[in-house]
Amino acid sequence: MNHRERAREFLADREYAKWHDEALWFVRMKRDAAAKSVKEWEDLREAAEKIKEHTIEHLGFYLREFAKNASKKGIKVHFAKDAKEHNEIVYSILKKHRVTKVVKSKSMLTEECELNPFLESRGIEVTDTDLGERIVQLRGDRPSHIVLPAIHLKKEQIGKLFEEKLHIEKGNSDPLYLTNEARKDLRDKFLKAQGAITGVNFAVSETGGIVVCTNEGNADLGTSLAKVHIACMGIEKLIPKLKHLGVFTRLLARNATGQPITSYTTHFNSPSKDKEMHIVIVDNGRSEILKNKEHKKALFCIRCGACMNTCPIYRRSGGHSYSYVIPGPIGSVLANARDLKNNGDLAFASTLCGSCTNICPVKIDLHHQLFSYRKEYVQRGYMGFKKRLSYKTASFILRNPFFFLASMKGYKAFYPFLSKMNLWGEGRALPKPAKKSFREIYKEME
Amino acid sequence: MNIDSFIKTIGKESKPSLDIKIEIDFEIFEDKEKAFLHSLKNVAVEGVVVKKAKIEEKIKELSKDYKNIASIYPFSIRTLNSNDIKDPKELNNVDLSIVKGKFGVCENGAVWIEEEENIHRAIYSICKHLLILLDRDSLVSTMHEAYERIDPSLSYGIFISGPSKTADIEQSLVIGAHGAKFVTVFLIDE
Repeated sequence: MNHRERAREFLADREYAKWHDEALWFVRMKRDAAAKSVKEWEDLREAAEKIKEHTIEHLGFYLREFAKNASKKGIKVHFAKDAKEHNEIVYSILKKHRVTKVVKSKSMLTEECELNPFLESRGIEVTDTDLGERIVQLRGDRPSHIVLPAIHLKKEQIGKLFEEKLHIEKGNSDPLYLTNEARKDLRDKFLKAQGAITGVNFAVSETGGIVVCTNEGNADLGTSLAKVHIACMGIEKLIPKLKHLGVFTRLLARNATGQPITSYTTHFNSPSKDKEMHIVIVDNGRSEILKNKEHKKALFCIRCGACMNTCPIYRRSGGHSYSYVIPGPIGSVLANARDLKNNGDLAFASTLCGSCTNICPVKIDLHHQLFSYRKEYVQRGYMGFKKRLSYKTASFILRNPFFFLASMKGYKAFYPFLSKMNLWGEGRALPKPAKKSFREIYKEME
Repeated sequence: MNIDSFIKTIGKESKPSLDIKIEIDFEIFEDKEKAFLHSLKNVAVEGVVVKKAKIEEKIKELSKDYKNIASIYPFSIRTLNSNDIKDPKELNNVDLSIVKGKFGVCENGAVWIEEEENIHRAIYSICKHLLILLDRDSLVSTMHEAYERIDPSLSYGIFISGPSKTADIEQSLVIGAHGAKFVTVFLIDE
């Protein structure tokens, strides 16, 4: 199934689709209010873009600096060229420490590498501790949003799920009650885990440390109780200096959820006493994107998720309609960078309205990127025969004055018939032909 | 994979000749305390100005229903010096944890905590109620000023802005996801 078909399934329940759309729009409005409260907001975006641009142009240099500084602080740094290597490194660390239970805080990278099934098949229990991710994990589902993993679920569905898995009282779907029940269940997991895995929001080359932002405090609780902490990051998480965090911590939470900052912004710059800390730095295709002049900007992303909240297609098709682990505009771009042939449908999952570009805190030109993938998709000959034929025909007609005029006349004459057939698409009305064409009016004026 | 072959695939190894120029004319709050207290309220933190001589008394008031009070500082009311225990999991029943902040940030109500002497990082998130003591005159306007005050050689530090929270179920804000359910900041007046 392609994006269009999955979107159609999503839209089958109109009321649900409307609810989903409105839930995300609400987040977008909160973001707007937060952004407007900072008068230097646009300067911050510009600074963030500059920092990211500078960093990826010297990425090799900053990576080496980072690894050197982290090692000095007693952190063990590992490098993984792909998902397989990443998973093996994580497993080997856990095995060395005889870890059988792991708590994990949010990390899209470990989703990308499919770490959970890898560890589970080797006998390690992995518990996602972010509430949204925990819900999705208990359902055997996958996150539909990178910041709000369970945004596609209604509280009644979550209540039912908890009844079944956590044996809570029946028929109660109050968010406060459900959160408390999850807290109890997860507190037990925190206390029993010997290992903690986290993602990374920012890695600072100057200090050799990482920064993890959460609202729930799950990364803090997990890492401070377990004896070994493994932080997994893609190479694009680097920034040069500590002071640059001033820019990013002001942008991230405001743009993601409209909060002034996340509840916990933790700087892990060394392991705590008698414990171990590891950082696994992953390439997994990123160095290829880095070499692509037109698309390397996609590596600026700080994963705020705002392009999803604002996207008219995402809001009306849901995160699961995207075939890639990261949905929405940035997900489509990353998916296309990886495998255009199989993810090309995602380049078309956009109205090209540009809202994603306008909201992006690091100024990634998202809709331009999608447009350029569309071109590439056609040029490489991935476009299906029917579509290719109709574009070829249209191009021929539009370039030829005789056929152009003839087709206009034909459109007018056959409009009642065409509007019923509507080849252009469902849910769209064909524009009514004007009584007089521009050419005719122009001639009369002369 | 070893670092050299990893970085070789990435390239871009040249040392930057220029530093990144960032010019941001950021906001400075005139009445810092007012702005900070306002931000605390927004992130569901109770902020109170407390005279230095009254700290113990105020803590007693705050903790009248609590049994386990942990701190690395020798307050008469504490029941546990958290640095004395071996396994941080023993902190699971702590009701109140008393820590010291270095400075507060007016724009978002975040407090920077960096306690070199503290062994167990869990004390910031495992307790039911977190009390942060902060000098009244240690407020900065924005995160830019905040990071100027942090030494890049730090081992561990955390900005805490409010109790643990989540809105993962239908966007309803719930306070107390995993970490502290309540956060109080005492602004200490010398």
